[in-house]
Order: sequence, then structure tokens, then C-alpha cells
Amino acid sequence: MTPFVPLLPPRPLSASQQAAYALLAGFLLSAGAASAATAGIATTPAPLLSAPVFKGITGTVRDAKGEGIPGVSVVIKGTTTGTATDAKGVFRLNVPTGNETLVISSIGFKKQEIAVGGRATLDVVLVDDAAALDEVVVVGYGTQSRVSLTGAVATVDMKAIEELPVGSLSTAIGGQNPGVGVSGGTTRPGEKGQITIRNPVLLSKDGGTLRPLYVIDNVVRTEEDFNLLDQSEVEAISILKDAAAAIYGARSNQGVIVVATKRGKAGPPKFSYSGSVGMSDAVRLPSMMSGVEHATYLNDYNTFRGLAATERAYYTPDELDYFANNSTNWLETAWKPSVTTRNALNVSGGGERATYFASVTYNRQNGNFDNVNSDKWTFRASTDVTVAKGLKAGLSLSGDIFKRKTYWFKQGQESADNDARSLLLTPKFQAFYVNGVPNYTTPGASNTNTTEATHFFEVQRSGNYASQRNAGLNLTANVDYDMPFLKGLKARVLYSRTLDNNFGKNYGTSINVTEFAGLGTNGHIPGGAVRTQRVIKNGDQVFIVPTFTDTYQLNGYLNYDQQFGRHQISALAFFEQSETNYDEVRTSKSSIVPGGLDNMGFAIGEVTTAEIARESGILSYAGRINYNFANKYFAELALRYDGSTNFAPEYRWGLFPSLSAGWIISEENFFPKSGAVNFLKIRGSVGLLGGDATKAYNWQENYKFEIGKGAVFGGNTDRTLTIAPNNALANRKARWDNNEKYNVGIDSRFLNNRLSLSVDGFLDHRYNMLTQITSSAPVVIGAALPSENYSIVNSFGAEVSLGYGDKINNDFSYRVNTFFSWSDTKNIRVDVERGKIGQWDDPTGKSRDQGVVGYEYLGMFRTKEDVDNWMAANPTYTLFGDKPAPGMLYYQDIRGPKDASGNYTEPDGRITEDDQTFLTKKSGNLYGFGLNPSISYKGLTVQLTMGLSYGGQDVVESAARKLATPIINRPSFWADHWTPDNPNAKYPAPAANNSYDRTSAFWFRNSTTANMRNATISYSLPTAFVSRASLSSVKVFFVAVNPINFYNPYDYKVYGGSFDVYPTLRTLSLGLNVGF
Amino acid sequence: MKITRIATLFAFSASVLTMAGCKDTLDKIDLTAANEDLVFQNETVAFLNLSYIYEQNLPSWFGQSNIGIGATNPSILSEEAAGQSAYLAGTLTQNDVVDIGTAIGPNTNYGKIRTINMFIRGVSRSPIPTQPRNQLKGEALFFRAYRYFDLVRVYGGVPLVLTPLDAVGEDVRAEAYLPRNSTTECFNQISADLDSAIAYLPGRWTGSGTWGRITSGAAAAFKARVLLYAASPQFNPSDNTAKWQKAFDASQQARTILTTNNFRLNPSFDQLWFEEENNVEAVMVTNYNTTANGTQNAKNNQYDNGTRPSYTGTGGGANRPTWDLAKAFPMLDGKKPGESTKYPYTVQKFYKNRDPRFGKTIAYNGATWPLNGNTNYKIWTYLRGTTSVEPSNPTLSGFYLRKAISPTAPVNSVNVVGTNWIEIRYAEVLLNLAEAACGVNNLTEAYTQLKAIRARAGIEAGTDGNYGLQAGMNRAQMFEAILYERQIELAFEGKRFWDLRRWRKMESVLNLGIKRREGLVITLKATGVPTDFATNRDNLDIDFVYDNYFTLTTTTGAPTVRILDTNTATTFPRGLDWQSKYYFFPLPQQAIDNNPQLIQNNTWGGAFDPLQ
Repeated sequence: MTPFVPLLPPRPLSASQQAAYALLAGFLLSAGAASAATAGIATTPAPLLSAPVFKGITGTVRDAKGEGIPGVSVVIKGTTTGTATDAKGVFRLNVPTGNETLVISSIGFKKQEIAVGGRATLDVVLVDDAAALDEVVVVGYGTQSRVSLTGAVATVDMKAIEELPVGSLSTAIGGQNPGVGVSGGTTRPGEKGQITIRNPVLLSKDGGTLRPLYVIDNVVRTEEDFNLLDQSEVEAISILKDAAAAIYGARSNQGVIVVATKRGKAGPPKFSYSGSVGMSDAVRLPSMMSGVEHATYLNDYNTFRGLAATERAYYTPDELDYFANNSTNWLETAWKPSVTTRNALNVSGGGERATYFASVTYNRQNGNFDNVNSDKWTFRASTDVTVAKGLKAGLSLSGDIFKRKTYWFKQGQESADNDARSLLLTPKFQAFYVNGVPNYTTPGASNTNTTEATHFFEVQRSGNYASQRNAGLNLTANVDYDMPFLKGLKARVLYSRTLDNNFGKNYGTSINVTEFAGLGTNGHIPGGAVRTQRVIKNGDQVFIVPTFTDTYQLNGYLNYDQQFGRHQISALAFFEQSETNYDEVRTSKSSIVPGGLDNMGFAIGEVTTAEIARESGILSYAGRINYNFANKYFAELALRYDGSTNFAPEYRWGLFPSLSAGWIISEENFFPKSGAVNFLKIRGSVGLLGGDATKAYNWQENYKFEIGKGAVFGGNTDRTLTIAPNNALANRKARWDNNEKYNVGIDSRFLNNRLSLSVDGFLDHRYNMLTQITSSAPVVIGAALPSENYSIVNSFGAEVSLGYGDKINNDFSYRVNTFFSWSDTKNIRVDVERGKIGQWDDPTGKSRDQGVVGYEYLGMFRTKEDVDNWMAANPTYTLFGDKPAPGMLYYQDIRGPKDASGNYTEPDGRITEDDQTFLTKKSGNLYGFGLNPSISYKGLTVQLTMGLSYGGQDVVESAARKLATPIINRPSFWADHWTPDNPNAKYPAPAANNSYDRTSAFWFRNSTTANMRNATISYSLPTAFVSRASLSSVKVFFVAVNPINFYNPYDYKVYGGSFDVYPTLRTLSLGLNVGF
Repeated sequence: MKITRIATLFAFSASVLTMAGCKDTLDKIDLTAANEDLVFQNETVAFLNLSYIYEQNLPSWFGQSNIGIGATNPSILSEEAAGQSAYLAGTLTQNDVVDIGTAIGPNTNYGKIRTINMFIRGVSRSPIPTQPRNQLKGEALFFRAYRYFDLVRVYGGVPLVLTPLDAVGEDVRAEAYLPRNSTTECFNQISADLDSAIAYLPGRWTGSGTWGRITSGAAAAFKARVLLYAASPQFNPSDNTAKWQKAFDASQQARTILTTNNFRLNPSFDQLWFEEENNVEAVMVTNYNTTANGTQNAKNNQYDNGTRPSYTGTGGGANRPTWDLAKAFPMLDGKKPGESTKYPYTVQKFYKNRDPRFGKTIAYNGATWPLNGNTNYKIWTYLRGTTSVEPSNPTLSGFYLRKAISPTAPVNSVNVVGTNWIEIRYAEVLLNLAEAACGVNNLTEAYTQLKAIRARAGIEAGTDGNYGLQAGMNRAQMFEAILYERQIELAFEGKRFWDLRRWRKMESVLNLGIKRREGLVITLKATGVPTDFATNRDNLDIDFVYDNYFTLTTTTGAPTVRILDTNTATTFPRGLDWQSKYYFFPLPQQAIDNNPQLIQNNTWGGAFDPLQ
């Protein structure tokens, strides 16, 4: 079955091979360098020709259960000569003397070194490395063993996420680590998750990001590129949370995510296929008022505001009767469960001279509405070749094809969420069709360009869409060369080119609807005589935005790694340069021919075109030294010097140093070796990191040409072209903003390594923060200010990870990882209006989250007596200008308006905007808790990711509080509103919205969230059974995303977010993973 | 160590280092933007920036600016039309009038002023030759004056910013916290800018694509308007004659420049709106075009479609004249209704023998109103029972506004008519002249101008040749007569509110005189009306129809009216209730928080005297 892999010693290169490698090198390097490289290669192989005496050895590598492990790498230490085990865990290798040491390693197991000692057969047992601290961790520009880490570096457990059927990698890694926040990504197909690290702060409005920097295989890439990776292509992900990120210098201050993709492993070809198919459905659809409830609400509203009973605005009994039997939940009508499929296939293998890896994945999510969907292909092929002794080359080609489609709703405020929104807000007593004719759902309104007038079903039927198609391609090549004259010195050149084509296309038509006079006494029942025909213009155009991005990154490294007795030194020096070219065209053509196709050939109106081009560059020099004494003391010093085109030439360079150190106390002689503590390390780091939170060329005043902004001169001619100020104010002195990061941590293990505990405390001192000044600048300046190095904000927090795991026997093991995080901020110097300084709402010296701002809620006036009693005590009391009446909420009078000196006056007996205050200490949840248990019994594994957060204050969102109207429905809780007959209602009188649609404790809801993000149950078939089918492994699994929400304080929607958007989905998938 | 290895190392390192030396990595330029040198290289390119300034500053219909009070249709701040607003409800709060700006940005008044100042700086240091440079500068200076006048008439003095302020760095910003200049300083600066504009600009632009550019006559006319405000009781409660004299001088200058350049009254009061280029009455104009709606170069007049009956266009029904305005028009002999003996006035036939401007301003039930190309179209707005006979969206006041409504546009292109807004009509120049002349007690000049206006309107000259004007009026009576003439001549042109305000007559005219604005209710009689009336009405004699088929009065003979300002808790709780402190509006608290150097007006609890 598995063929014996013959092993040959390295050979000298033939002339043609030399030429080929020279060509490769020439491709990578400049022309001048190519000839130098050729010269070098040609003279290298000579020392390999000494003739050794080979001895053959045979060995078997097994796991703890005694099963042979296939694909284990077996390499002669100090060389690149080696082999891999076959399907039964057996290897054969020729060694020159018989006294070599073999390095035996495989993913998921502890690496072992075994001296051959003249033996001809070897039996090796590899130990599972689930809790191994000598696990290798990718860090910036290299790898380190976990023991030697001196910074706060979190790693993602790739095993835990390998089967998650989510469309973006960000979503997949959520809930695993403290200080790594992931939101979103489980709603609309193609929606990406969003990662934040610790407590990022951004005060600029014209650039910058709250997201970390993404580095994939040592190349700085975009967030989009990261999200488009499939987890099956990824070997490891590390999250650099503290000064460990400083090696990325000027763009590192929001943290860095470092990804290593899978590479080939020596051995026979190993195929792996994983596929799953699942159903996605809303965790819960929002509850809205029924037709009768809504109409009754409107009647009560009209009564309250004194509308005469004869007015047609009232819903008459015959109409209410009709609505009782004709109330349609429009969202439910259009909504249906969707299908999510995921397929991943990869192959890996190779000999000792060359390895390869290739993968293809396909992920498809259908929407819960027809015509909404997303699919994603990714592919990757890489090879690593030992060209000659000491010379290795790696090539990788990867890419993605991404498609996403939503509806295009151009009416009113353009938003993809108008699908769910328009369906939810359309009254349930309204009809989208009357006798099959599209009905105008906002009768009487002459403005058809509103969200309310959106006719979802006709938009759906007309095939209107907004789509995004993306093809990305990355080519990365690197050459590594072991410098022959100094042991441990290596040189490396890396070149990476990324091309990204994005094709955005929107198609919207005109939709013909009929407005009917209505039936029923007051004409509220849909139907009746035709009143008029209306045209809803949903864009009525084809709009195309193709973009092209071309980026390259070039690095040259020198790396030195050597051990001198108990001293180990590794040093790295490199330069990095990258340039990006971006070009975008925005074009549209209007007036779609009815019945035509969705391209410009079927549009007959105006064509508009614009082009936007950008170029930018970054140049960096950096170095790092790591020192390790006796695996006890560790120190790391890094320095990076960065220049960017975002800043003026004389301010563009910045120097970013960092220093960190660690001490493994448990390695000291005085440390009791037999105590409960197995491992104890303390570490600390400090570094200066940078950010470039501004847009390019903000340092230059400039103008831009604009169409459609000019005046008309002469009779009925077109507008003229104009030149308008683009950057009316420039800040030539803008430079990198600074972030001093401090982190101290303890890593420890107890009870025979079963219990692990890590504690980190951090302080991010951000200063010279690029800030767009809006408040502390007088209005007479008259233009948006450019970002300026101004603000000072500290963030700080603590993270605790606690894990406990045990292996009871060969069949049964379990592990529980928990973590806790807390963080907060303090404004030291921020942009604040002069008139606010010293007042209650002055943010200086306080947290960025000072709590919920609103009015002190006192109660609801239930009866006339309530009002009279209140007015007797507070004769001048008004609520935002209104006289109190039963059914209104009322609030505490805190202040009067400001006097001439700018200070608030005493309470004036009137509720106005001056009476706002902080109602709670915090608004956002500042405490987070994670609980991730996993249990394995024989082949069965159960793995859960659960989270809890608390400490903030939730408030019913404004969209739910707003007044319902004859054309807008609101959540179901409004059915229980105040009327004279229902004085003890839970909610106020609808017409009193001027007083209730304000933030107050009345609308408070508990902010605690507790949910299970995902759950995986998998079963691996016994090896014996599997191998009979000529397979190496078979696993079936069941995955659930968002399976359980433990607590929901809302009675009308799922927890979190506004009710009127695409609902959060629960996905249940069944899958199969097969290894060949 | 072998030589070859050293060579290899050397070669490798050299190749790495040569690549590191790519300095042009950082030699990038902004590919999307143009620098100042490019923009101000010559007058043609620079004009593209000026065109942006025109678009930002030219008023839209009714002279609205879309910021602060400029965002409110001024007609509803007078008796012309009903509509809810805090200004007339008496519920205005300190934070409501935001013209001065409450947040920094390019589209505020000061943002527009910055763009103007940048343009002036740019052309001043450009290589553009003196002659075109001064013209460009003159146009920009006009708009700077225009913007400051918009602010000063709202608040009194405001900070004068005459160069683009620097704002980077805390020290620099500290210097930008400017206090308010006095009202007098502001008026002086506006005058000075307009004087420069008058000096720099041609009396007429020649060549195509120049209609709509500011002329010296427009600048002079605007200066006359500004100085008339400065002389009015709002800013001149002590009736300082020197201020009137300045206004008079400016008005005379304006008339001289304009007549020299062939500006004059258009012979037709109603058709003057439909002349585009070289309209002799259009002193300052905002051009609109007929380019297809929604396309990027379209600038369509939305007033027409929004104002006409909804069934004669695609929108419609706004700006409905009140009964109060309808009552105000004189009779055909120029006397007020009830005062004319030649043309007795009755409610039942309120339309009969009125000043011709009545029928050209107001479309009333039964009026012949050429619309959609139908020259015989008649508008009917009466009620049958309690329901209007109009097909949809009926008028509540009983009337429609027909000033500047295109008679020819077909129903489906009403939304793309290109009727231009005339911000300064030659008629206003004459009325301003009359008022300023009256201010300096030159009543003869005042009579001359009022008669010219009335003669063009088609009022009968009368045996005394006074066009109905009372002979021998004194100064105060003449002021009243001029204000009345402005109400009629300039009805629905965005001038009435500002006239009442600068004359401090808001309370006396609106609060006391009107209290609530009314519409007229015309009901078809229940009996005695032929059954084919609805189909035959267009062919009947209108007087006969009014006499026999319509009810317009109650049993007491008073007109049947509908209150348009309804009485709810939030709308006009006390009827129209203008407060005397509104003659200068308050600075919003956000503006003072933003810049505590701004001192509040003394009528709003501060120490700033806007009369200084």
C-alpha cells in the first residue's frame, strides 16, 4: 500500500539544475543579485561529496495507545536528511555512522530526540502534547517555544475550530482567549466577524482602525485576506497582545494577528477531506404588534392627542374585525431556513528534498431570503525545496474567489438590512399584494423614496441585488541560505505579491405599484378602487465598482541562532519594504429598460464614471535579539524603524523599541521539584508601538474636481464642473501616534501539570494620539481639522486563564479552559469643548465609558390625580415643553440652563436636555468570562465554547422605542400601552413619545450575556476499522453555532443588537472528515 | 574558510542590501487631488472653484439658505401661508437658531466663508493677470458679504473671519477663539466687500455661460438692501438719519448702475419669471436647468412641482396662500378693499376687480389658470358637502399659489422645469430706493418709484395719476404704503417675514392682526345647482356661478373660514405669539460651549448689545 520511500543522499547539482535555480533566484532578486546567487550556488556543494558509510535502521513510532502514527518526521539532527513514517508508523532510514541523533516530531506530539547508539531498530513512543509548554508558537518574524515567550501571546486552538461552518476566520476564533474580542459574523451570509485585541482606542475620524494588523506567512495582509482563509489551510494563529507586537512597529498598536499556513510535511501523500452541511435559522425572529394591536395602538394614539372621532385616521370596528383575521407576519412569510455547506480538501507530502501542500476549500451559505447568498473558494499550493545543502526555497501560491449577494435597497437610507427592516416595519394589517397586484404600502405618501415604501417582494421578484465578487491571488517565494562560514547564520529573502480584484455591482430597477383607495369605513383595509399608479425608483440603474489592488512586500533577513554552553542567542535583522497601488472605477448607468437584463446594455440613461487611484509605500528596518540562559532567564530586545507615505517626509520616520524578559523560577535549584507547583514563570514586557490613524496626504492642502456640485450659468445648461477644497486644512507635522505597552504576567502549572494558570496585567499608555479635533476648535475655522497628535488615553486591564485537564486513562480525557478578563480606560487628555470643561459631562480624567447618559426616571403618571399631586408640588413642571398628562413618563429635574458665565443654574422646574446625567457607571460590558470544556472518550469528543459578559447596562434601542405610525409597526411589547382604561400598563401612552423616547432607567435591560458560541461533537472511528477501508482516519461530527442563549432580558428579540436588522443565525451542521 | 563562501556571502548580502536601498518606495504622490498651483493656474480653472462657491452660496427658492432659519420656508413666518414653527408659536428655545453653526464643518456658514476666503487667498497669490483676477475676487467678495449679511440680520454682530484661519496646534487654535464683532463693524465690512465687488465687476457679463454671474449692479443692489436693513428700526431704533442717507446713496448707485446696463422693470409682472437669459428684471438670479431629474448635472426647480395642485404635476400642494393674504390685495384702482368707491368689494365675489397682481399671484376657485399647456384650464377647489371636489390632496386654504408656476410644462416634466429663482428683482431695487428715500424724507422719489411699480402691475392710474396712492402722505404714512406695496408685489418671494421683522412689526401685524391664519371655505349650494354643474362649470360665467351656486359666508355675512393653525398642545398653543426678544435671535448654547468668547445677546440674558 504505502510505498517505501527511497532515501538518497544529497547530490551535487547538475548544470541544468543550477541554471534553473539561478532563474528562480533571478526572479526573486534583482538582476545584479541573480548573478551573484548563481555564483554562490555553483560553488557550494563540494563538501557533500565525502563518502560516508551508511547504516540502515528501522523504527516504529507509536502513540500512547500503541497505535502507529503515520507521517511522523524523522530527521538526522543537524542535517536536513530524514524521512517520514508510513501508515503503520514505520520508517526506514540510512544513517552515516550509527551514532547520530534522530529528531522525531509530529504535530500534536512532543518532539523527541533519540540517539541511535548503533542500534538497527528503534521503538519510539510519542507523547501527546495537549498541555505541552515546549509547543512552538509563531511570533512576529519567526517562531519561539512557548516556554521562552516573554510577551503576552495568545494562540488559537486550531483543533477546536477546524470544523466550524462559519464564513470568516475571525468568527471562528472567537471565545477562545481573554482580551481577544470577536463580534458578528453569524448573521447575513458573507458577513465577516470583527476582531479587537484588548481595549483598542481610536480618536481619529479620518483614518486608522480598531482592528489588529494581520500578518500571514510573514506578509502584512488585509483583514479581508485573513477572513477569506479557511481554517483547514491554517497551521497556527498567534495573537500578539502586548509589546510582542512592537516588532511590527508603526502599525502594531492595536495588536497583531500572526498566521502560519500549512506547509507540506515529508512523507507519503496524505489526503484529508472534510465536509459538512448544515441548516441555519434565526435564533429568534423579532415579535411585532399584530394588525389589531397596531391599529388599536394608533386609535389610542389619536385619542390621546385629541383628534376628533370623525377623522379618517381612526380604525373603525369593521376594520379591526377584518385585521383580526388578516394579520400577516411579513418577515416570517419571506424567511426560511438556509443551507450552509463547507468542503475542504488538502494533500500534503514529500521527501526529504521537497515537500508540498495543496488545498482547496469551498464554503457556501444560502440566505434566509431567496437571492441572498455567499460563497467562497480558497486554494493554496506550496512547496519547500532543499535546493542544495544549506539552500532552501519555498514557493506558495494561494488565492480566493469570493462572491456575495444581497438585495439592493436604494430607497430612503440605503442599507442591506432593509430586507428584514422593511418586512418587520410594514404593518401586519397592510398587504404587499391586492388581488395579485403589487400594492403601495404607504398609501397617501407622495414620497416613494422612503424605507417604509420599500416593496420587498417586488424587489425580490425583480432580481435587484448588490453583489460583490472578489478574486485574490498571492504569490510568496522565499529563499533561505545557511551562511557557510558562520554556524547558525542564515540569510533569507522573501518576496510576496498580492493581487486583488474586486467587482462590486448593484442592480436596481423601477417598481410599479398601485395605490388603492382602501376598503372599510375609513379605507384602511387594503384594496378597493385604484387610486393611482406609483413608480418606486429602487435606484433604477446599474452601478459597478471594479477595484484593483496590487501590493508587494520584499524582505531581506539575516538570522543568527547559536548556543554557547548554557547561553543561547538568536538575533534577527531585516528590512521590509512594501508598496501598494490601488485603482477604482465607479460607474453607473441609469434608466433600466423594463424586462431587460442586469447589465448596462439594458440601461438607456445617463452614464457616470469616476476613477480613484492611490499609491502608498512603507519602508522598515528592524532587528531583534533573544537571549536565553539555561532555559531559566529570557530576554528579548527589538527595534524597528519605520517610514510611511502617510506622513510628510520630515516626519515620516519613527523608531519603535521594545524589551521583554522572563524568569522561570521553577527551573531554579531552590525551587522544590516535588511540590504542587510544576512550573512557574514570571514575565514582563515594555514597548513603544505606533499607529497611523490618519489618511494619506493629510499633510497637504488640496482640492478635487467634482461633478454635480457646480452652479448653472446661462439658460438651462448643465451644472459646471467644479473644484472644491478637498483637504482644506493640512497638518504637515502629523506623525505616528505612540502607544507604550506594559504587560506583566505569570504562567504556572500545578498538580502534575493538570492545572494551569496564567495571569496578565496590562497598561497601554497611548499618547500623541492622532485625533481629529472637532470639539476644542472654534466653529469659525470652518473646515474639518486634519488629525493631530493630541490625545492621551490609558487603557488597562487584567486577564486570567485557568485550565484543568486530565487523562484518566487511555480512553478518557477531559480539559476545561476558562478565562476572565477586565479592562477599562482613562482619558488623560482628549478633545473637549471649552464650555464643557469642569462640567458634569467633561470627559477628562474619566473612563471613556462613563455609563449611560439619560434622564433620572421617576415614574409614569398613571392617573389625573398623579399629575395633579405632582403639579401641586412642582407647579412649573414641563417635560420637554409639554405639560404633564397621564400616560407620560417623568423625570428628575437636575439643572437649569447655563447662565452667562457658562455654569448650569439651579433646577428650574422644567425637564430639558440640561437634565441629563450619567445613569450608570458603565454602559458596555467590561467583564468577560469564557468557559471552554472538552471531553474525549475513546473516539468521541465533545467540545464547547461558552461565554459570559457583564458589568454594563443595556437599554432598549431607539428603533424599538419610537412611535409606531400607520406605515411603521413596532415591537409587540407596545400592545400593553397606557390608556385611561389601562392605567397600569407596562408602557406609556403612545402619543407621549416626546417624553418617553429618551434614555432613562425605564428602558433599562440587563446587559449580562451568557451563551454558547459553538459546540462540536465528533466521533473518530477506531483505527482498526478504518484501515480495513484503506483509510487512515474517519471522523463524523456535529457542529452547532450559537446553539444556546442562556439568558435573554428581551421579550421581543434575541439578545444583542437592534431588532430591525438581519437576525442572528443558529447553524446546525453535520459533517465528515476523512484522511487517506 | 574558503574564498568561494565569502564570495557567496558577499554576493548574497550585497543583493539584499541593494534591494533595501529602494528609496523610491516612499516617493509617492497623491493621485486623487489637485494642489493650489494647479487650481489657480489661470482664470478658467480658478472659475471652477468659484462655481463651487456660487453653488454653495446662491439661495434656493424663497431665498432660503438651508441652514438654521434659512431652512424654514419664510412664507410660513408671515401671513402668506400657514405652517408650524417655533418662531411664531412663541416656543423658540435658545438652541433653535443654528445659523452660526454648532459643529465645525465645511457646510456651515463659516465653512462656506472659509471656502470663499481660501479662494480669495488663492487668486491673490496666483499668476492670473490683474483684470480677470479682480473680477474673480469681486464675485467671491460678493458672496462673503452675502454670507455675513445672512448671519448679521439673524443675530447682530458675529465674528468676522476674513482669511482662512489656521487651526493645527493648540496655540494656533487658541487664537481662533474670536469674539463677536459689533454689528456696526459687520455692516461696515459687508459694505466694504460690496464696494470692492462693485468696483471689480462688470455691469454685464458677455459671452455664453455667464448669465447668473454676479454683476456690479447686483452687488450695488445687494448693498442697498443691506444698508436698508441697517437703517430699519430693527437695527436703527433711534431713526438715525445718517443710516437712511447711506441706504439712499446705495440705492441710487444701484439704480444708476443697473439702468446703465439695461436692467429695468419687465413689462409683464407674471411672465417675467419665464425669461431665462438677459431677463431685464433679474438682478441676482439662481439658475435652474431642465436636465433630466436625478442626473448629476441636473439642478431642477422643485418649487414648481411642489406648489401646483398635485394632480397637475407629480408632487404638489405646498405654499398655499391664506385668506389673510388674499384679503390684502388692493382693488383695481389701487385702493384697499372697502376703501375703493369705484370698485366696491364683496366677500361673495372677492376676486372681482382686484389689483391684477391678485389673479397672477393667487389661483382661486374658478380662476382660469393656464396649466400643462391648457390655456383654458380652470381650477376648482370648492367643497361639495364637506369634501373637496379636487381629485387628490386638496388645498386646505382654498387657494393655490401661481406665481412663477410654469403654464406650459406637461404633467410628467413638471419636476424638471428650469424656472430661475430671482433673488433680487429690479422691482425690489425700486422699492428699496423708495423706502430709503422716504427715510431721508424725499417723498417725491418714493412716490415716483411706487407709481412705477403700480403702473407695471396694471393698476389704473386714476384721475390724479397716483395709481390709488393717497396723495400728500407724510413720512410715516409713506413707510406704511411702501411696506404694503412690498407685501403685494413681493408676495411669496421670501421677503415678507424679514420686512416685518426689520420693521419690528411682527407682533402688531401677526399676533394682534391675525392670531391664526385662515383659509376660505367655498361650498357648493345643496339646492338650486344644476346636476351637470361639475361637467359644465368651465363654460359658465364665473360671476354667475359665484352669485348663484356657491356659499362663502355665514349667516352673519362673515366669510366662512377654516383655521389653518390648528390648536393642539404643540402647535401654536397661544395662536401666533412672536416674542419681542426674537428681533435678535439667540446664539445656541452649543455655539457658546464651543467658543465661550461668544457673548449672548442682551435680550437673551447675555451682555452683547446687537444695536452697537
